[in-house]
Amino acid sequence: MTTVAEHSLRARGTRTRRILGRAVSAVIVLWACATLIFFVQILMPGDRATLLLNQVSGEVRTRTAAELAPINRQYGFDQPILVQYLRYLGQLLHGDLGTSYQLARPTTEIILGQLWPTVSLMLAALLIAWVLALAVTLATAGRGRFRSATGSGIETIAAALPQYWLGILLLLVFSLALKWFPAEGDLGPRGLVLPALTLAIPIAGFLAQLMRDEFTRALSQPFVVTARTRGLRERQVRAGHVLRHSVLPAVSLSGWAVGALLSGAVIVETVYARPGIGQVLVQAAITRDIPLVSGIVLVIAATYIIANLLVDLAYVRIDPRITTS
Amino acid sequence: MSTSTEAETERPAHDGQSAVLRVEDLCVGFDLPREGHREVVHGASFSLERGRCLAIVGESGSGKSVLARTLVGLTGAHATVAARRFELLGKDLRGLDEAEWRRIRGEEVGFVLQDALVSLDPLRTAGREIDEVLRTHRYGRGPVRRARALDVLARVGVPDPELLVRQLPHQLSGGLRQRALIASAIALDPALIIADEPTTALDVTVQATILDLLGELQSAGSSVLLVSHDLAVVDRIADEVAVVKGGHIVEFGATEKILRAPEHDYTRRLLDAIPSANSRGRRLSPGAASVAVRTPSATETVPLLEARDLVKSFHDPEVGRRTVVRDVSFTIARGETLGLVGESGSGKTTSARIALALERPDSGEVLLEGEPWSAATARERRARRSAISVVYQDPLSSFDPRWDGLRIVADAVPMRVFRTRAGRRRRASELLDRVGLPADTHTNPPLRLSGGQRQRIAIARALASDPKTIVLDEPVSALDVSIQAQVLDLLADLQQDFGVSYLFISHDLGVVHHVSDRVAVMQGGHIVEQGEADEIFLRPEHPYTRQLIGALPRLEQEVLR
Repeated sequence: MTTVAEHSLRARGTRTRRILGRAVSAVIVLWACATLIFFVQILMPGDRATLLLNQVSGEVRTRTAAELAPINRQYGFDQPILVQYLRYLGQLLHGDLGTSYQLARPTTEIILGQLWPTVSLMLAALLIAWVLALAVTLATAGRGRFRSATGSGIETIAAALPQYWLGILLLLVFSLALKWFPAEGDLGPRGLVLPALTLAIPIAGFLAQLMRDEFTRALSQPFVVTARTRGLRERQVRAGHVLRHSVLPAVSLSGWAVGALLSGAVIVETVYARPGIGQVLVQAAITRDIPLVSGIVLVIAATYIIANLLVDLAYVRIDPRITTS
Repeated sequence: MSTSTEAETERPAHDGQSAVLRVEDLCVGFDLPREGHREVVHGASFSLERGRCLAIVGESGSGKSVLARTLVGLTGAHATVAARRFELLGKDLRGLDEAEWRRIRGEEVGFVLQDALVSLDPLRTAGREIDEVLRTHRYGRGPVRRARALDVLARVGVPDPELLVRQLPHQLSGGLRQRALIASAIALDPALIIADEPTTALDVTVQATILDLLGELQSAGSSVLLVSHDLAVVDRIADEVAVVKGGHIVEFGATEKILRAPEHDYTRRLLDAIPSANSRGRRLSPGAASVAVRTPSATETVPLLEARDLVKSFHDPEVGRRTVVRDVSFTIARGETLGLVGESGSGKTTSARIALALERPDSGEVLLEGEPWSAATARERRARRSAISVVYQDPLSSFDPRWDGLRIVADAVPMRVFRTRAGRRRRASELLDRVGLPADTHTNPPLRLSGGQRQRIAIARALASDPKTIVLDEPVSALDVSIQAQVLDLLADLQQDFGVSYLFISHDLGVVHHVSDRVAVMQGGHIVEQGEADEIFLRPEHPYTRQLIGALPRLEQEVLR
């Protein structure tokens, strides 16, 4: 026989264990990412010291051993790989992602300087995507054939829109023709609207498709009938019971959505000429600035892992069955 | 129109205050976009007095659930409801607007659906579900509502209400779950409780306690409208019975009269369809004459299937290891039916899975035709797989939803018998004919078939490999009484024709008694009693068997006496 105290203790215990477990595995995944990034750097074709000298000087030629020796010593390229790896991990623990070849500044500093525009863009886009998806679902799902068909049509089109095209279209209509929003260069809230919409609309399409399916399924469940027999308004039945079921798959997908938003940000920042990680990444890739590219990739991986951790926590809050079964 | 309405609303005063529900000539129809208007309830008339229980009995599709939902105004936007008289507590329900219906729901009428696992929101605690009805009808502030919820839970016999309000439906046993659902329906002391198949998903002993609970609520002054497909079940608490067929009430009267001296053919047919001791050796569904009494061959010394001292335990995160099957031994002879009966969790299904070699026993072994079966290697077993097959309770989940019946069965016809696809399909078609699936439905996807038709496909698939033993795991538990009767008759015919043996698992004692030559009663992983079916049912020795039989509906107990 379980007592009330035991019950709540056990529930809390399972929840804490689950969160801890997820946090530990997130750290392990991050370490694996860092390791992978390090060895990709080592295995890349071309001598790193030569690459560095070529970049700094701007001329591409073969370097002599005398030229390379000081660089190798300075960056530790002459050390055994294991020593280099351990030093790299040690630096990571101190938040040091290395030094950019091209800009000759700490990578951490460059990334941190550009991080906020991208993060604010992504957060705004994720928020807009959820609001749009919820609005379309609540307005059209399970409300007769015509409305449902309209809703799912809108979702399919939204999900299929390419962001580079959508970005240019929004720019033309709302910025150049209607002049509602600034075209580019505005880092304030007004300048965020169009880029965030560009990122959000396709994601909203995906999320809404999932929500609609689950919403329709949940709406035909017996517990919905029970809720109605209690005298609830239809609005209360939908918002109170059905919606919670319908957001579950969309919450799961939000982890993936963060990844999609990151890659979308690269395009959107280019279209709207916004500063941000995306721009830096494109530049760094073109100039083969390996420490900078590696640093950004690691930051992106970390963002993705943290996003999935948050998704997991949100899921547990919405679906308590997970920690009680 | 206004004058007639006024005249109608005044009338109850003359009738006295006892009528909770008065319905005359109620018609319910639906306007469907393609088919036009279709009426599903045709002129139903019945009444329910205060403190009484009326049962509406009929098969699925008879319109009984629509009838029940009409009483709370939940027939949906496309329905049209018309009646000469339609009153709840003397109040005319005709032409009520949504807000007035909402006040009635929960406050004057409490509604209980079947299987609380899906009828309670799986993401909410039981406490929140009960609170919802209180909050909706503004019962009071948080602490007041909370006290009320605990009070109601205690009234429906929940041992620890404080704990239950914190639990989710899936953490509760079937009985507790159903009690929580009933608590949410009666939280505001409604005058009328509508219970739509409230015990269908439950074990026999739990079913009995839930029916008793409804009976107690009724003696406390509530009126109960019980909707069910099972006449034997309603016998336990109903004062009056209305038998519904095709949207018509074909017979309405006192329970005693309906069950003991039915006038309508259909009522008699429903009564005949109830499997019990009396029905052994006779057909349950109307049609051909009696089934020949089988004589299992006692001449063979080696049983077809033999289980020796099976033990199986599983890992359970809460208690460590949990032993679900303990020292289970049984034998099945050729052409014989062994009934395995017990409540959920008693180890019936695990025993069957071990017999099918889908699960390896921790110790003990299963012999098939005298040869090692559970101890054989997967490779050796594969060659003899066709000797044993299985039918589940819910065939739908064991079908590929994209395949039609023909393909499902053809897939199970062994390659060595018919090498070509066409041959296998021909064989499948024969089998589907044999199990009585209409030819024009052979190529329908299972989702578009009825529960009985799906079970026929599952039986045809089990026969496809020409097995000697078929494990039937609750094969008729999800079916209406009359469909159940047809499927049980079919199984009897097939046993006659093919000489197969059945391991028949069920929680329904009537069904087990009807089909079995011998019966094994399981409790907590043990077989507590085993023997000839009549011996077990008429002279039970183990207290648990007696308890099971005591929980049987009155109608079936009378048969046993």
